[in-house]
Amino acid sequence: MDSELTDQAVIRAALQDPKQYAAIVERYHAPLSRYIMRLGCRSTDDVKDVLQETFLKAYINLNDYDQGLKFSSWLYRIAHNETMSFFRKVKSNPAAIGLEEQMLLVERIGDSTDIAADADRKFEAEEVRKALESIDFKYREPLVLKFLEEKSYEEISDILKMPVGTVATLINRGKQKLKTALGNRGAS
Amino acid sequence: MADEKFSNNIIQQIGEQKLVPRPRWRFLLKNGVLWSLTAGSTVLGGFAVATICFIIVDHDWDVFEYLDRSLFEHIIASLPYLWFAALALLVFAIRYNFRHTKRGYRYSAGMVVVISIGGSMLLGVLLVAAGFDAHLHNFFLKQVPLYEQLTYTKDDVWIYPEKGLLSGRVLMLNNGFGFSLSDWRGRIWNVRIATDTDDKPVQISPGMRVKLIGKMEGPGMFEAKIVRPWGR
Repeated sequence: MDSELTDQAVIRAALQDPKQYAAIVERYHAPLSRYIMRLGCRSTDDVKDVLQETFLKAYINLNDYDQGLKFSSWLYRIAHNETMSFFRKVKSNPAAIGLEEQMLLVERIGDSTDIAADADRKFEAEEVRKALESIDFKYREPLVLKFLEEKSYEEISDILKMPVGTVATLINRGKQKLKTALGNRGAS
Repeated sequence: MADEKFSNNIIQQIGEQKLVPRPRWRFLLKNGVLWSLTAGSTVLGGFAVATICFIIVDHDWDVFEYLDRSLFEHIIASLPYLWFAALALLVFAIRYNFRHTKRGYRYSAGMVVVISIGGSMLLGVLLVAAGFDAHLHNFFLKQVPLYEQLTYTKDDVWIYPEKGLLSGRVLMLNNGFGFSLSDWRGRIWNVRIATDTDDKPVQISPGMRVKLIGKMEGPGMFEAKIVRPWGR
């Protein structure tokens, strides 16, 4: 399958021949694995299971894909739902995201706020971890999508199935909470 | 390489589990049902608004004194709570169904609620303007079990002859001084129209439905100071 083909073209082909679906899997395997891990799924085996379920569910529901939104948003939405189902099934809460990604997240959020200037210092990994853990998951996920997955507000709205205004509110509140948490830890 | 291995595994799973994409019509049907439920709930919301308007406009708010109540108590007793509850439920249904349509999530809950109430009100006002409000209320009275018991309407007000409130159907005129009347429970009354009244006279004819304010003079005897047509 030509890697230059659009997602829509690959979907049309996959609806005729399941083997063509491999192109979609190959295209989104890495970004979705990363996203599922960033949602707090830490074990490689668990990520693989969730990812497999995501791709199989997406295949079964290919005809439900709304051409009005990006295919990646639709696929991320399924990955989000499957990850949440996984957490419910194993009765566990999302784990913290990886250390490097925590630092990256704070760095990127810092670029868009006055967190870095405010503190005028480098944050310790442990501080960042505790600050991120103190933030409710409902704020963490939009922050991950915005600053690590680098999705637009519209894409996040389509992934999380919420109005753009709500996405903006959650991101702003999340940034404020992170800033407060880092400030408090810096002070202590 | 890892991607390729994983994709081969997915394709293999699709083959082994004999998975096929669900047909498009199923999703179209689901979306169609959700839109139909949204539209249906809005129409029912319009019915609710029209009936609320009818009950409020048709109600006799000035007879509270005869019922030994204050105006406030009369208002509290008379509001159409059943319809308010139905309207709230329908707005919730509109919000829920719309939220689950393909792109319904893009709109805020507040906006959807405001639009659904607005849509129901617009439809309700159109139904009132077209004169369907009374038909709807009467339809529900006749066809919906318990509706009459759960709704406080003028039927519940004009059934207290001992308090001066009587209603029913005119049977026969008595030489211009009064008429005989069958109330809603089937009791026959001789109604005498009071001469010392400032009330604007109403043209009465046999078969007409009327409501009377006056005084019970004895068993089956009523003096009417005010005669009003029953309404729609």
